[in-house]
Amino acid sequence: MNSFEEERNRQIVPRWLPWRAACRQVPFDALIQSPLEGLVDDARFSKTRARWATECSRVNAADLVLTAFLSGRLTDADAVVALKYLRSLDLDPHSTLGLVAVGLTEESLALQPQAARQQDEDPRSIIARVRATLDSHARDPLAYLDLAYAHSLLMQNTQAEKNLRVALALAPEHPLILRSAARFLLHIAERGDPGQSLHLLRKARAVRHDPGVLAAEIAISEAFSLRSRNRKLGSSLAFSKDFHPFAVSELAGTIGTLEANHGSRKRAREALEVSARCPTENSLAQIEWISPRVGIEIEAPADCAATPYEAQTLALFRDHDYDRALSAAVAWSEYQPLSSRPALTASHLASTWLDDHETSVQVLRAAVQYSPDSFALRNNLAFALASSGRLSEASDELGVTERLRLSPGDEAVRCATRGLLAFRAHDHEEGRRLYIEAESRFRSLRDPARHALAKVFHAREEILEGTPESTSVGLDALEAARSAGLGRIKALEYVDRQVARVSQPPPESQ
Amino acid sequence: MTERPEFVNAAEHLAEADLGNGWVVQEQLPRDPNHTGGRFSIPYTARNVETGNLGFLKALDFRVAVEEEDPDLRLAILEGLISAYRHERGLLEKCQGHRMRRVATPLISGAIRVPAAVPPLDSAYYFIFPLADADLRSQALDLAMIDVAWALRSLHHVATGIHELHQRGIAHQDIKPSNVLHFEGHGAKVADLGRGHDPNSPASHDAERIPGDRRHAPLELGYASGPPVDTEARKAIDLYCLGSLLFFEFLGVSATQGILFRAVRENAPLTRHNFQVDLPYLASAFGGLLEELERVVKSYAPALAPDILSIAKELCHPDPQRRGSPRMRRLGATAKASAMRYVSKLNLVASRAELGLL
Repeated sequence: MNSFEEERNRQIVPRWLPWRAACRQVPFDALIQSPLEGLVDDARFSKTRARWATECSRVNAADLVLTAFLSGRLTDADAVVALKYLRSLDLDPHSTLGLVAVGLTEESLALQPQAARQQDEDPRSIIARVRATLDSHARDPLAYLDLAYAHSLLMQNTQAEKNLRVALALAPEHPLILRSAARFLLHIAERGDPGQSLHLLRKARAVRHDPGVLAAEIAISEAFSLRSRNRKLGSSLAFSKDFHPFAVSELAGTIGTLEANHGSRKRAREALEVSARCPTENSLAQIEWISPRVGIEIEAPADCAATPYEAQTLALFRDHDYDRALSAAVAWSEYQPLSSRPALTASHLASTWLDDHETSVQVLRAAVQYSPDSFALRNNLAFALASSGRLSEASDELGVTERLRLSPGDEAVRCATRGLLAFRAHDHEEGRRLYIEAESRFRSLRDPARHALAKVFHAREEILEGTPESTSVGLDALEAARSAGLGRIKALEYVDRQVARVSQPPPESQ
Repeated sequence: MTERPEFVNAAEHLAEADLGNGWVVQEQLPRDPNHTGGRFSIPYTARNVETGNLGFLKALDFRVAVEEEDPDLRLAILEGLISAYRHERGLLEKCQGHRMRRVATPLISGAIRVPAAVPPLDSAYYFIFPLADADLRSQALDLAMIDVAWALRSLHHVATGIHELHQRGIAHQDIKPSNVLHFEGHGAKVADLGRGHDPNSPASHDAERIPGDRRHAPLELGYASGPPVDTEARKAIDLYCLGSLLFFEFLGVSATQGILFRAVRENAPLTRHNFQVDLPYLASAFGGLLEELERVVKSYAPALAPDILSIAKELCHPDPQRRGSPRMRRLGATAKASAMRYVSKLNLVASRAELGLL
């Protein structure tokens, strides 16, 4: 059976993206685009303008445009004319002057927006590109960060960690590097131990003043039911007016979640409202996740986050729009390849709600490269492969899970998936035995939802094989699904339909 | 109440004046932004009666002070103008005294009374400099074809000028293309010591956080809370600006503007107050600028590219701790600020370029 559990304790654990992609998440109004504002006086600017008026050349045009742009004189008419002049020249698009010419809008010298998601780049080409630049400008911590990211995509965690340590040594207090490193250490930690990740964040001075680093520390602590000493500081920074709403969004979302978990709806609402003012895609997903759980409706501005795939998946799933939810989940898993949750969600949607096993296989094959020891990914892949008749591949995937240490719940799931494989191999006896064993395990674990799910999948296989037991097993499954409140997944609809057809009295002959 | 009498600006009435020292003022020049001098001086050409040589006359302009309505502010501006003039004159005399070859020093300086003007502002204070053919900015107006030998020799001359100043304890603090003058047959000279620093001659701008043009100044100055800590730190600014000239000559943009634009274009979340947080973004943008420089230099002079890139990297790295050669860095800040190393390095690459070893 497909292994999917809804997140019970979602936290705003920081994302790890290549640094340029991370920068593109930041909305324009949260950025300082005029770093020389107030530092170039009017007299100097007039001189620059006069130079351009005296001599129309690319150097003078570039100087005027750059001075106007960097000092915040975005509507200067002469600078706009100078920009048009630069555009009329045949400039190398990769040169600084070329970037100026194409990078600014003609109306007001504003920066042209760039796509929030960069073109997917093969990790090997990232490594080659970054290594080439390291030769000429070594000790660039962001280059090492990207190198670590690419190595982690290739499952070369030792090299990834090595490069990450270099980035940290070069910029030990940099918020982006600290958050990325904390996320990576969590990813590679044995049995999900957050010790190293939290140690890194807690020893950094930035945790005392940077809302992003502080949010990561509190969120990771909460995700592992550990108490953070920085909660009070977090509450105070989250409501501070010293930061742009985007900068405190994750911290406020984390504090809001914390308050909600402690039953303080009023404080939770206040914090979540701060979080929703200008949310990151991660805090938007948190709001989407927590709002229905605590009965708080929080409005976030439309199109507020650049890549809101997780939030979209959650919202569409809740609205029973499974096709679009699957598309969003696929985009989410491409956006966050290192996390297994997006792929699990996509496979759950595809295999359980849409019978789209092919999409499920594609998403899971990609995800399993980055998390080869994830039982849930391997199991779901085996389930999707078996459901589409590829028994040998399914058996191989399930075989890989033999070496993994599993929780009792996962053991039960694997037992059910083995039952599916046996049924598809027409070994009814063995399939039935395995499904019954899985159902019994779920019952012992007091997990009625998965108990019902196992029964439904079992019934489907009995019906597909046309066994004599199919009707009784089907009726039993329908009863379990009803009492567990199971949603109308495809398998349940099928079982319901088939049982109803068999139970109907034959039409009377005239 | 009587009407305020019209101010007759002595500096604006120098045309045709005989200065009584062998020089006759000729026509007033438009305040050409490509020329040095700024808003507080009026430019003229002057002719030496004996030799017939032309010179560039820069007369101190009091108008900005006189036109100020607020009497306290007027006094302060006047004080500032006079002290700035005295400071610059002092530095220029020091440069003359030490026969600095690569610093543009005046042929003569002095004051002349203008009868039409009202005392006490009835004298025009002036410097006469040799008339330059162009400055670096106007030489680099078109980047379509770069004369690598000429560009490198100019940089070598600027480095020599900086070294000459540093040897005498002076930091220029405002090295930029328009402050590099070219003299036919004599090469380039560093001009305009108006923002210069000499520990023995305090100036009002010594207290400024960024003494020179911010668009050419090292990035870390924008994050500092006060002025550069000592003369060595001020000398280091000159070396950064020397590197920035190199970027300007080959790319048409100063290192500072190039780095900042590239960082902003990447959506780098710059703080403007925490240099350590911003530095990785600036360093990455600098990497992009270096790559561009490498492409351009390789297209003109592939054999010189490694040396030119190494000079650019050593001079302009956004991290001040990483400027200078690794060996010089180990020797401490004083050595790091030494311009001598770059005089030699630039002389070598310029000579190779002149010999066609590109």
